[in-house]
Amino acid sequence: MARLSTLSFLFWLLSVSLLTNVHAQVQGGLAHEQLELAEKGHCSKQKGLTPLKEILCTGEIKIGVKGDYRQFGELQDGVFTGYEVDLARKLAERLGVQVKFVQVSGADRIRRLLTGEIDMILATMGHTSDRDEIIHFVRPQYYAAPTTIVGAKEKIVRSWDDLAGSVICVPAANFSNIEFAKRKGQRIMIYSDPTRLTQALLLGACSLIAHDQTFIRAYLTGLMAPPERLLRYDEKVSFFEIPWGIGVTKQAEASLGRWLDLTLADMHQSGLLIKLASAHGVSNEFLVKQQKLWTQEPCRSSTTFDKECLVPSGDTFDPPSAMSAGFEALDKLFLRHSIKPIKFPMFTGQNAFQWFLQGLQVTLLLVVGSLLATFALGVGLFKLQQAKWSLIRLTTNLLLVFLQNSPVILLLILGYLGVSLFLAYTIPISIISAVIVIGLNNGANVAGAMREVWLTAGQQLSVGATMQQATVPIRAALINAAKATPVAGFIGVSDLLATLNDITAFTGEQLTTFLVLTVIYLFLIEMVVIGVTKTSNLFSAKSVKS
Amino acid sequence: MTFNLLDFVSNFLTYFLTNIKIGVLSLAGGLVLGVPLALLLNRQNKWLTAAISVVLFFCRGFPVYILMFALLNGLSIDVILKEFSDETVRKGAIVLALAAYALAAICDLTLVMLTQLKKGQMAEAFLIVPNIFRVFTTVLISSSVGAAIGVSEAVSYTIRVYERFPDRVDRFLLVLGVTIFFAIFQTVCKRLVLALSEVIRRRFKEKHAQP
Repeated sequence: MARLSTLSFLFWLLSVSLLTNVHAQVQGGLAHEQLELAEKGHCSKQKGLTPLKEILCTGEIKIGVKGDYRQFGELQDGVFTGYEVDLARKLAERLGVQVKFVQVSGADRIRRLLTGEIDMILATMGHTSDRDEIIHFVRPQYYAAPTTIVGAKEKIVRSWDDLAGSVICVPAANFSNIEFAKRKGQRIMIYSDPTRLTQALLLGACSLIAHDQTFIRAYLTGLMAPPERLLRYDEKVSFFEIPWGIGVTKQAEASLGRWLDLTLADMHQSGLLIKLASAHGVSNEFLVKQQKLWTQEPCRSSTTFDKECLVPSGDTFDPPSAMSAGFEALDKLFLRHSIKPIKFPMFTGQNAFQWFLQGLQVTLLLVVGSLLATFALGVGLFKLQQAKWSLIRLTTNLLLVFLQNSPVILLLILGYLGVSLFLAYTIPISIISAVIVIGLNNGANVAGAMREVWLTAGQQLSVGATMQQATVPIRAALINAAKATPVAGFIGVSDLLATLNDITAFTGEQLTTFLVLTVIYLFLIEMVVIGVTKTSNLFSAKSVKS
Repeated sequence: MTFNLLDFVSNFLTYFLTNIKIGVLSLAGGLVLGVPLALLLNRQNKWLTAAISVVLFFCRGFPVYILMFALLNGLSIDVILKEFSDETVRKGAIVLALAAYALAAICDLTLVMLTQLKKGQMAEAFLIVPNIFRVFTTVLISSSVGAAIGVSEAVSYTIRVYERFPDRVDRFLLVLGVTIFFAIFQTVCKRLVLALSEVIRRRFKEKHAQP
């Protein structure tokens, strides 16, 4: 009976607002339908209730919110606070039900909605075209923000060009990370959640981080941020502004989704969203624009929501590749056998597949180039060790000790810095410098081994004969060169690892990414081992014949 | 910006301790797994040999850098992230990746040692000690790739410092200095390995020479 009274009150409340607002009118109509249902006592008997009716019948709505996102959804001492939390409370209040908050993360919110753990997502979720495929987004949206790159003030970044070769730390499964995959030249490091990301910047593990502007401002550069951080960091580049929407399941689109569409339109019109945002210090440029839009015709009196009233979703949709049908069939097969579906985003999307192929090409280029450079530079250094002038011999020996004993990662950084002193650092230049550095690092071992053989044989052997006798260490150096090629990603070379890392950053699919990477690298290294062994055997056989 | 060389050196050495710790942990992991694997291989059971060969093939053939990234993703699951800090998880990834390399190397060395013990070549068998030290220096130097996944060690500290330098020449010189430090460190370690090997050979020669 208590629930019926609540619903009656709700109906009365909505009927009052019916007089003032066209959105509230339709919204009230929907609620009336629910009220009738409840009055008839059908809640416990009826099967196949719509999600909205279920919520009204149970008297509780489970809303997924963030617990670690200042100003939007924060959990402190067991109490949720923030703009999104207040909005969630208002929505539950309008429905006349209790709200149950469930803390969700960027990585698990959609899964939790789809498995029925929550009824709706209200957790800083960008409305993107690829998410549109999986869930229903409530429109109008309740916020919009770009992604911002932030770093220490002394780090000068005026445009994307200044970011070439830089490391940018990003949150996992963030739609805006697609921009890094498109632009290339930067290296990204993925962090599982925003708190760890901020910590990484504060502790110095990351010199640049990218996240929603609201998050950056709340923790680092805005007026609400601690003053010492305000003095230390500034915003560098902003990109990819995207609306934030409430998410419900596709099944709830016609009932709960429709009710939320109308309620959000009403809340924009009445200015309630601006009030809620202001109460938490959230910037409200988007909300002001939305209020203006919804208080003017044609949006003011539209209940079907014309195109001009709605903000489009962020375009992150990757059209299906030629192989996507095959992978979908595999997905269905897994589902039929109750196996967790495994996604292969690097093969199923056209763009992702193209990036994957480009990464593979760069990796093959690096491996072949490094093998050739190791061999050629090794022989070259060996010849220099035999030079007539003692100064050249001494310098070469010192260089060999330096190259043989330095970590390849530092040599690559030196190569990158050395090149960027004289040339604009472009992707081809980064590949060439990486090939030369890996070639020098491993070629030094080739030269060292050849020299040892040459000295042992009484300095009488020709270059060919020396190589023949030093086959084993030369082979080892060549295999090591191939194994060192992925480190080139550290200086911005967009090889397979860097590319797959980029794809993981926006798709969130980690398992298959590293499975594919493992298989390819094992195959590649084994091919190098077989190729190098066969070539050296052939060379040895020819030498014996001659 | 002001750059204090003494401060840099002192901080750099503190971070270098992290590299040493990673090296020690990786070597310990390699020893704990590599020695038993070698002992099992020595039994010459064909099924065991086949299974261990697969493990060794993977550990030898797989680039440490790729393995480190794969492990980081494998370790970044809720259960682990709730228990450990981000830095620990990242260090765990590099330690495990290097331990895989150390495992293969130590397994090979132990097998050689067992063969030499069977032949009664004690001096050669004891050369496993300097060779294990050689594996340690290799993993220690290789721990610098941890910078790629955000481990706070000597190379990532150097990068953080050089990024504050506006002048590219200064950046180059700083990295060159650090590279020379690593090169000297490894050269000294290699000399130590040679000296230790020589001491072992001499000791055993003297023992055999005694009546």
